[in-house]
Amino acid sequence: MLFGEIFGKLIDTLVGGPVVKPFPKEPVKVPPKWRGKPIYDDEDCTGCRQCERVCPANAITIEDKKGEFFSYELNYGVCIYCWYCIDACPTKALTGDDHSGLYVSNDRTKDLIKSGVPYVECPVCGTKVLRPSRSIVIKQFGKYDAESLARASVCPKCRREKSAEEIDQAVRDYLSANE
Amino acid sequence: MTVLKPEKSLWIYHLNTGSCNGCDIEILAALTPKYDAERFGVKLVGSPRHADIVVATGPVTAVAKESVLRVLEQVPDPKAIVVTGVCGITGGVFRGGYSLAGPLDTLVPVDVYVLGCPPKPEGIMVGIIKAAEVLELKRRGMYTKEVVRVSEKGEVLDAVR
Amino acid sequence: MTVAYWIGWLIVLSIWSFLIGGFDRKIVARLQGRYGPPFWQNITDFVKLLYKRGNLATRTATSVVDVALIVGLVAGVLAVSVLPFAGTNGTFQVLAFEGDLIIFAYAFALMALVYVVVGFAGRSPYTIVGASREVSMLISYEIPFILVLVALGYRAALLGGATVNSIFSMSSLMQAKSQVGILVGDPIMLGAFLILLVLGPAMVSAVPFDIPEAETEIVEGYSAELHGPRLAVMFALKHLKLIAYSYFLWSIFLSPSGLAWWANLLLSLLGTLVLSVAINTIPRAVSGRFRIEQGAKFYLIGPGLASLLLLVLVFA
Repeated sequence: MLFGEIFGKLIDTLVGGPVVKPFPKEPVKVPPKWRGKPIYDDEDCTGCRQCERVCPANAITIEDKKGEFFSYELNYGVCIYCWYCIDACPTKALTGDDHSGLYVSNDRTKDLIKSGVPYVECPVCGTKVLRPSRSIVIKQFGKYDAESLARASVCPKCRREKSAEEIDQAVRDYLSANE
Repeated sequence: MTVLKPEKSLWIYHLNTGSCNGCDIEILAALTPKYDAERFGVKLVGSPRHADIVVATGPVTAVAKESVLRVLEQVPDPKAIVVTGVCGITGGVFRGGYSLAGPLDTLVPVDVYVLGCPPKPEGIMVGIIKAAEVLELKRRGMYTKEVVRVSEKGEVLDAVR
Repeated sequence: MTVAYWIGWLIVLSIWSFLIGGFDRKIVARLQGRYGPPFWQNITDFVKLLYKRGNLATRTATSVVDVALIVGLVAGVLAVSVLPFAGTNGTFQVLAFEGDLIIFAYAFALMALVYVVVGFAGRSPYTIVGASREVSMLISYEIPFILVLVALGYRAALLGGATVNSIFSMSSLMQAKSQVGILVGDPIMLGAFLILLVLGPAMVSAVPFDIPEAETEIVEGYSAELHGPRLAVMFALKHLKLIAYSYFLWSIFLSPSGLAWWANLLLSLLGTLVLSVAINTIPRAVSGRFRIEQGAKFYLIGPGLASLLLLVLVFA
């Protein structure tokens, strides 16, 4: 009977208790592969601009002033949380925030990441090169400190033309000069 | 006394200004037994004249603009406007389209933004609770909000009070 | 003294009506597996509506709406006042005269007519559709209601040994009750009670028959253009209607006689709660809304024929 079924369901819910998630008391639980805000870490960025290319919503704005600053802006008011940028990033400079889904603000002009990568001098010839990514430095030298950073930021032209002894000497001079 | 506090009773009006229905489904989800927004006194009403909080979705399309402004004018004071989803906040993926009359906060003052495409139902609930705080400030006359015009790139162009 | 007692009783009943509305929301939420709002939520809603200010629609005839709302409040107070309430010795009636049952029926029709007037004064498509639906519902449930009241009064006059010219008075009903004990013990009275219980959802516009104020299709119907204090009065009127009807059913049919006044008071508050759950909450929880022709057909065929049968049985 129709009504019997309805009343049975009602009594089931009455006995079983509410099914409401305990949300305001406990933090939000998200599924394991849930996609949240992408977080940008400028130390890992290589400036390859893959994220800008794949972003379907054009949330990422990059302005590369050659020799001065590589400015990076990620607007959460535009981002659709598809994580294409995170998949495309070769050095994991973009990572996902999996812990909360509550992005509420009162001012939309502050819902963005404004960051960037500075240009550093090549220790050998002094031309400006983009600061090398931390993950690449660690992959190459096993550690991330001033010396390995200086060795990694030798410009391609010097690597091609100078010998290993010259580069080594120049880096040592550069480090001692900066101390 | 929480019994006599007007901010404990929030009647929300759901305004679709040209959304893709993603955010609308999430607003509906926030009212279902799984999330139960009625715990906080939230009730969905059909007429804008009964509403306290307008939950708007979608970028304002050129066709919808007049109706949206008329509906928002009909909401009695004190009112709060919550924009849900990135389309309503900046235009989202439709930014710069020929058929948009700009995101909602270039037309009227918007109090709370809920980010996401679409946002989680919990996010919408948090936005509504934040709007209740805004309502309390407005009832006491301690709240001002500017209409901020923002360019496509996110720069503040001018602030109209 | 009487007036003070009456005013106190009115205040208690109106607060209790809001609490009943809150219990209704709470119970429905529990049946749906939710926590639901706190049980005082409807008082908060009412207070909130008093705070709201805005512009009324320019096409709304404001003065007509105001007059109609005042008439509605008066009718609601009248409907509660003709019912017997717990006094120091048994029950007590503020407005007692021959034919007060008619006044009660008239007050209910008047409250429905207030909705109609407010709807037509709104001059919006939604309010006009709501008002016309209210008219069709009124025609379909008022006929069985009046027929049942005639049967009820005649049976009460027979039971209590009153004269035929007092068949529409509460006092003859009370007299009959003092002889029978609880009035639903009588088979005719039981039939009348069941018909009135079925009529309940339409009288208080509860969900299967809230066709005039279907909020999803015609945005709250007749009150779509109202806001602020006017909407608060509509809100209060709806609760007043619910408590007047359930208190009518309780005090006539179910209340036991010969109790101390405080026991009578507590029992009547409890009884109105139980009856309002029966006529408002449970239909709301288990069913969706009918279409207007389904609602009208249901009341004209079901309770309409049943009330005719009851009338025949009473006079036979």
